[in-house]
Amino acid sequence: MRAFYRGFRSFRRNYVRNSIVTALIFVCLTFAMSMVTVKISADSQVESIKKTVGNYGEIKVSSTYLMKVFEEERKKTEAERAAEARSMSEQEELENRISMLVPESLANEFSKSKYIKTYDRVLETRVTLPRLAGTDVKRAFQFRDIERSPARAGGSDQNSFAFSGNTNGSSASDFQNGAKRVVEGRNFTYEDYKNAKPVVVIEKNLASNNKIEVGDKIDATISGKTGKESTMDLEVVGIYKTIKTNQEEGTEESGFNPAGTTFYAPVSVVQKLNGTPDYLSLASYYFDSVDNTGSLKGLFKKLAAGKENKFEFVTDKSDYEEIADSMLKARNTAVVGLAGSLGACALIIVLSMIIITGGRVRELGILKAIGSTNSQVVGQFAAEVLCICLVAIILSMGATALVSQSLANWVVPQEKESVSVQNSGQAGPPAMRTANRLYKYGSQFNFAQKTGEKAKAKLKVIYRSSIFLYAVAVLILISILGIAIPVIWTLRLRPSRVLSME
Amino acid sequence: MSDEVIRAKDINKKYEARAGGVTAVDGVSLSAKTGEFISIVGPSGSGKTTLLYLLGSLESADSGEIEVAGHNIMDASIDLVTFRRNCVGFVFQFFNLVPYLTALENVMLPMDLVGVPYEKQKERAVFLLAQMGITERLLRSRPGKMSGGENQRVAIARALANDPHLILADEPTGNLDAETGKTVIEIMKRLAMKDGKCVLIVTHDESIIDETHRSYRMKDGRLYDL
Repeated sequence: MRAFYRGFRSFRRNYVRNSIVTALIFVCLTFAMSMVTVKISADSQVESIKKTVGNYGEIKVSSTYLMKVFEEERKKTEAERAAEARSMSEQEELENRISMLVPESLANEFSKSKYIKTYDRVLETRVTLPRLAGTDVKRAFQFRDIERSPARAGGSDQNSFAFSGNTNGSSASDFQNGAKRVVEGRNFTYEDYKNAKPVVVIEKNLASNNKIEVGDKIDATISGKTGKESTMDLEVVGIYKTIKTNQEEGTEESGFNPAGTTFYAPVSVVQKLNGTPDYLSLASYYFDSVDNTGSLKGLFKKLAAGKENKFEFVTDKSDYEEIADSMLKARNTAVVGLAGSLGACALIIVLSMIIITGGRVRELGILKAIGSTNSQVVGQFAAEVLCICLVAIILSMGATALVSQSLANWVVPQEKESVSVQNSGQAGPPAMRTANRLYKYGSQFNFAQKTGEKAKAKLKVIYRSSIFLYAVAVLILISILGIAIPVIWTLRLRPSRVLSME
Repeated sequence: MSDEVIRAKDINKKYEARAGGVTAVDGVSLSAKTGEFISIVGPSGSGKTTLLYLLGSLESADSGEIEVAGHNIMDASIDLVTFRRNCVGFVFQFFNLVPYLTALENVMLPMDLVGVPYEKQKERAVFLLAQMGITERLLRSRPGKMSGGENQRVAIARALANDPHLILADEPTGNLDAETGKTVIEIMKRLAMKDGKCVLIVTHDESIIDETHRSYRMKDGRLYDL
């Protein structure tokens, strides 16, 4: 204790020398602590981003496979395609249909991964509803007056409706992302899916045009079936309206509704209607973190062994990377900056202590000659080093609070602040246009989905209490380095060598 | 403890050097008693400082026997730090005071190292400094603000702080003018004769011979009676 007191006295009385060393360390520590603050803030923001993006993936037929099929079909003439369709047996037609779908068994197996949080089965297809007339063609092209003579609206395009099947209506991406909202009745539930209850949710304008209300039944044609088993009565349990989503204009209700022909029903029902039980358009998953993307891709590769070219597991990792890009860059820059400034700090304290101790060897010799133990000598120097480092770190903590945001702005590259999340206007064949789009941003038939720009995360430095723990760790680290020098000198010094020196 | 403070017999010290070994102390035997004021004179490099450091345990002898104040300092088991604290006081040519401590604090330092309570340290330090003729005005002065003579008197007071049996002085007047040097020698003499300390001075100044009880000459590491 007395040795520490002597060290403190020495620190106080050699204030010019110690102030210079303290100032140098203060500058480096301010930078270092600012970098720690930046890193902590960036980490925290990245964790927040991870909760909303980067943790979504889906198994679907690969775009490469779809492109290959498209290319093969393109090589055929119209007549060849028609002839092929005519000559196709029922079994062949089914096989042709399921060739573009994902086996449910693969999706189920994948969902057993410990990283998977939620799992949704999705089947998007077209179903013929012979007694209904669509709204899209009517509104968009004004081909005919369906209201006046609905019986004439029975063309194949007019009666073919988009069906989106899910395990739970509220988990359908269009409802989840707010593009659609149930305004009457209810959405279908997981129980409906489990029991394959023939229920459906339809669009408001379509319901109005066809005078359908909640509780009414609609005839649907089951694909690939004939006779009595060829139709299914679907009960309308809910009516939804489409919300036009445009970030520039804000959210507003849409009068024009190109997506009005989409029906939402339990996937088990849609599978029956499509004649493809045990097959899905895609399986969507929310997993715990983007960090496990690699593990999940590995698992998928293992499960889809031999069919890697046909199926793919795609995630929104690239969206995460784009949104969190500035955070990730800030974090990396902060780590480099922290390492550099701590290195500079270490160098300053070591060089300073070499100079200080080297200039005080006579004092060391005196102390040892008059009976100081090595620990007493070291204790005194340790107190001096601690004082220097403590003053420097206290000042730097204050300075960090003031300059960390400015330093963060300086070290983090300034980029445009927004990034396009989805490009729905991708060039290519119709199937390819949706192949690379993730289901979470909207169903295949939802043209009113969010396609705007999502704000790129901006680093906001927050001065957290955990910074003090880092400060203590840094203090201990540089103090140990500083103390190491007098320890070496003290242990090696022979007082008789220095006491006779002038 | 008997009156014999120093009992050294046939001590040798050789320094290894590239150009061959240098024998600093060659078969020196010496004894001194309480209240004796002894001087060792000799030219620079004769080995007198080495002998002093051997007796004060700042250096270790290659061979021989050294017993100081009843402690066999050649014994490997002896705690030399404690020995130096309690049995020996050093006075050096360049004073070797701690520059950032005041005169008072420099004298208190050896007592501080052995854990003497602060008030007692201060009381004894003031007493010793007063004995050395250091005025109260200088108690709070640092070495840089005091003259050579004042510094040396503070150094002597520090050497006496823990009331050692032996005072070892290495050229204590070497950095002082004649008048001040004379004062310092007077103080040393008083320490031996009045306070009963055994004082051993090594110097190249042969004028001191007349002031001491016994004198030796050191040449090429050997000690000769004068």
